[in-house]
Amino acid sequence: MMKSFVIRVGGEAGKGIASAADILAGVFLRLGYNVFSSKDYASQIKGGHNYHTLRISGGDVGADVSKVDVLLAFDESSLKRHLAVVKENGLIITDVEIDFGEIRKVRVKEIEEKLSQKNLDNALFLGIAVKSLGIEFTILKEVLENYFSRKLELKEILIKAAEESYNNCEEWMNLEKLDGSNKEFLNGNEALVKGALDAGLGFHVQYPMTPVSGMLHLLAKEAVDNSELIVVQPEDEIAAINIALGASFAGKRAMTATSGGGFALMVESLGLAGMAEIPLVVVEGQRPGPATGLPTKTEQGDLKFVLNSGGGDFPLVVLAPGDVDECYVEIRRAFYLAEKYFLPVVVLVDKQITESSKTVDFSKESFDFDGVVKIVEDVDLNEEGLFKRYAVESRTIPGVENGMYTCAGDEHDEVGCITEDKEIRIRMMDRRMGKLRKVSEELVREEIFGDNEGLLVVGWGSTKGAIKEAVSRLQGEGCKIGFLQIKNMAPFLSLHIEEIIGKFSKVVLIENNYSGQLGDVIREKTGVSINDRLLKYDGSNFTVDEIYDYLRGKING
Amino acid sequence: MVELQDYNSLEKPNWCPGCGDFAILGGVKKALVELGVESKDAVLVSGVGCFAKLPYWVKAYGFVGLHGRSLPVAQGVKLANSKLKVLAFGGDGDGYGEGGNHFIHACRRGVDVTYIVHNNSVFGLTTGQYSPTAEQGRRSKASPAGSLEKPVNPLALALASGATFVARVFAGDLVGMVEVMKKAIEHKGFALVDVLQPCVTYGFGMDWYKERVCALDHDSKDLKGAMEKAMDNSKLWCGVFYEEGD
Repeated sequence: MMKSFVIRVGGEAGKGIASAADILAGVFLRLGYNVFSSKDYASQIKGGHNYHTLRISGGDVGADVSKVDVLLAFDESSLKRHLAVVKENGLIITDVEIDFGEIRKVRVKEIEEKLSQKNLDNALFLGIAVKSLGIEFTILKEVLENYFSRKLELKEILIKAAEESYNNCEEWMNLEKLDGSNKEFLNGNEALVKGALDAGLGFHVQYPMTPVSGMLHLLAKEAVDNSELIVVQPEDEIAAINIALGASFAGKRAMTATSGGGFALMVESLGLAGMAEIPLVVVEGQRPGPATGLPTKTEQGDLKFVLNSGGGDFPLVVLAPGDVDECYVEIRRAFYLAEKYFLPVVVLVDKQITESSKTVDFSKESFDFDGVVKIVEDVDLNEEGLFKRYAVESRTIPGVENGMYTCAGDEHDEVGCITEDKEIRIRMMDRRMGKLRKVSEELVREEIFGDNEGLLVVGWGSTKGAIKEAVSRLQGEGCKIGFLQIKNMAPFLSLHIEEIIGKFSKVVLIENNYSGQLGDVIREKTGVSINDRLLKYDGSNFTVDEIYDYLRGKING
Repeated sequence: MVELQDYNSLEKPNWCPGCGDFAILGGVKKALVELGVESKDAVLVSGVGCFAKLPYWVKAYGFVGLHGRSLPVAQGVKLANSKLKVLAFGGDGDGYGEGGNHFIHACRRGVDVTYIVHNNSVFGLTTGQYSPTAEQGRRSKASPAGSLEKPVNPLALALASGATFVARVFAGDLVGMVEVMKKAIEHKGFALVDVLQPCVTYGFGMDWYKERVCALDHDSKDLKGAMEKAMDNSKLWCGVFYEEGD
C-alpha cells in the first residue's frame, strides 16, 4: 500500500476552493483514510490566491510534505505556482491549457452552459478528481449531500454538475477502500472548542483575530441552543479579557482567545488574574509578527513574549500543544489548572495548528473538576464576617451568603482589602508564586519520541508532526535519533529537560521563528546552549522533507 | 430587612478629609439599603484612582481591577449572573480617558449595569494633572501653560452611544444623589450617573460647584431634549437627562 498520497487544491479566494478541499477530505474519510489538511491563504477576501493541501494515509499523518501527487488548479496562477511541486508521474486537473504528462481537463464553461448554471467550478473539479482516483460516485454524492444539507437547491445542482463531470472522465488510478471507519476530522480551533466545552466552558469572550476567529464562530453557533454558554464579541481585547475575568469571578468557567497583537493588549489584565487569583484560560494563536505582520500565515514567534507577559511576578501557566489531538487535551488541562489553582493559563498554539485539520485520536486523559471549589466554613471568616478568600484554597462567588470579599488588583490582605503591610505582601507573593511548584508537580513529563541516544531534535508546538515523521524516516534508515517536544512552557520542568538533553551526544533545535526562542528559554532555565538550529520565518510551516534534509545533513556531517 | 449596618465595613477610608468620595460612598450604600438589596447580592466593581478604593470600604462583594476597566468586568459579572446588582465605578480619568472605549460600547451594549463616575475633572491619585473633563485652559503640573484640549461631554457621548439612562448628580446634594442612584440601579439596562464632586486638594471645592449646579427640569423621556440639555454648558445641570421608557 502507498505510504501517503497528496492532493493540492489551488485557486482564487471565493471560488469554492475551501469547500472543494473539505469535500475531498470527506470522501477520503469515508474511504477509511487518515487525512491531514492544511491551508494557505492571503489576507484578502476575494481574489487572492488560496490553496489547500490534503495528505492522506492509512497510518498516522500530521504534517505537510514538499511534493504533491495530484493538483487541482482552478486557475492559471495556481498552475504556475504549484507546477514545480507536482511529482513527475503526478496528475493535474485544470481548465487551463498546459503541456504536462497526465492531465484531466475540466470543461467548466461547456458544462455550465449545458446546465445553464454558473459557479459550478468546485463541483466540476470534484467530479473529475473523484473519478480520476477511481472512487465510486455515490461516495462523493453522499458527502455533497451532507455538506450542503441546508442548501437544497444548490445541492441538487452541484450533484448534477459533479456527476456530469464524473461521467466524462477516465480513471487515473484506483484508490483502495480501507477497513477503517469514518474518523473524526477536526482542526485546532474545533478541538480547542470541543475541549473547552467538555471542560465546562460557560463564558467565551473574543474579539475576532486570525487564526483563532474560528473559535468565536463555533462557540457563537453553539451558544444559540446552549443555555449554559454565553458568548460575547466585545469592543477590543482589553474588554475581552476583563469581561472574562468578571464572568469567572462571578462563577462561570471563562475563556478568551486572540493572537499576538490582541494578546499584547491583554497582558496587564493577565497580571490582574494572577494577582486577584481569578481562573482564566487564554488561547494565543500565533501568526507572524511584529505588529500586523503576516496575518494569515504561521509562525512560533510569541513564545518569549507570552512567557514574560505582564508586569511583576505572578503565576502564569503556559501550555503548548503540538497538534490538533493535543489541543483537546491541553485546553482541558488548562481549565483544570486554572480552576484548581485560581490562576491564568495560556494555551499557546499557532495558525498551522488552529487552521489545519486532521483525523484525531483523542487521549483518554481525564481531569477531575470535583472538589476544585470548596465550601466556605465559619472558620474562614474574619471578625467582621468577610471571607478570608486569600488565606484558603477556595473561593466563593457573588450571591453566596457569608462569602463576601474583595477581588483585588491592589496588594491585599486575606479578605482582599488594600494594604501596604510588608509582612502581608511577602505572605501573599509567596502564596501566589508557590502555586507554580504545585502545578509543576501535576504536569505530565515530556517524553522522548524515538531513540534515547544519538542525535536529539528539540522542538515545540506545530512542528511536532513534521519532526516526528522525519525522525521516523531516519530511524528507518538506521540512524540513532530522538525527538523532544516541549509542551510545558511554564512552569518549565528544567531539571527534567536538562536530564533528557544530557543523554544525547548531539542536539539540534527546530523552530518556526527567527531567533530560536525555545533555545533561549532552555538556556535560561537549564544553562544548556543549543547552537545547531534550523529556523524558518517566511510565514510557512516546515515540511517533513525540509526537516529530513536538515537532519540527514547533521547526521552525515 | 436590609440595614445600613449590613454594608458598613470596619475599615476606614483614607481619602482626604472633605473629599466628595465620602458622600458618594454614603449615597451608594443608602441607595442599596433603601432598595432592599442584600449585600451578598451587590457587586461593586471599580478600577484605579482615589475613587476606586470605594469597594474596599463596603461590606459586599467587590472587584477592584485595573485603571479604566471596571465596565468590562462589571458586564462580565452581570452576564454571568443576572440576579446580581452590579455597580461599576469610574473616574473622569479612569472612565472617560483610559476606559473611554469601554464606556461607548457599554452604552450601546445595554447590559444592566449602573455606572457611577466620580467626576472631579482632575487626576487626584497622581497628584493633580488635568483630566478629560477639565475645561480648556486648565493649568496643572501636566499643563503649566493651560490645557489646549476641550473637555469630553460624557452625557452627550452616552446619549449618542445609545445609553438608556443618563443622569448627572452633585455629591453635595445627598438627597438628590440617592434618588437618582436608586432610579439608575432599578433601570433595566445600562445606566450612567455622572457625579460632580469636589477635589479638595487639587480641584474645585464644594462652593465652586454650589454656585454652578442647577436642578434639571425637563421631560426625561425626551431624547432630543436630553441631548440639548447635555450640550447646554450655561449651567451644571443635575438630574435625570434621559430615561428610555414608553
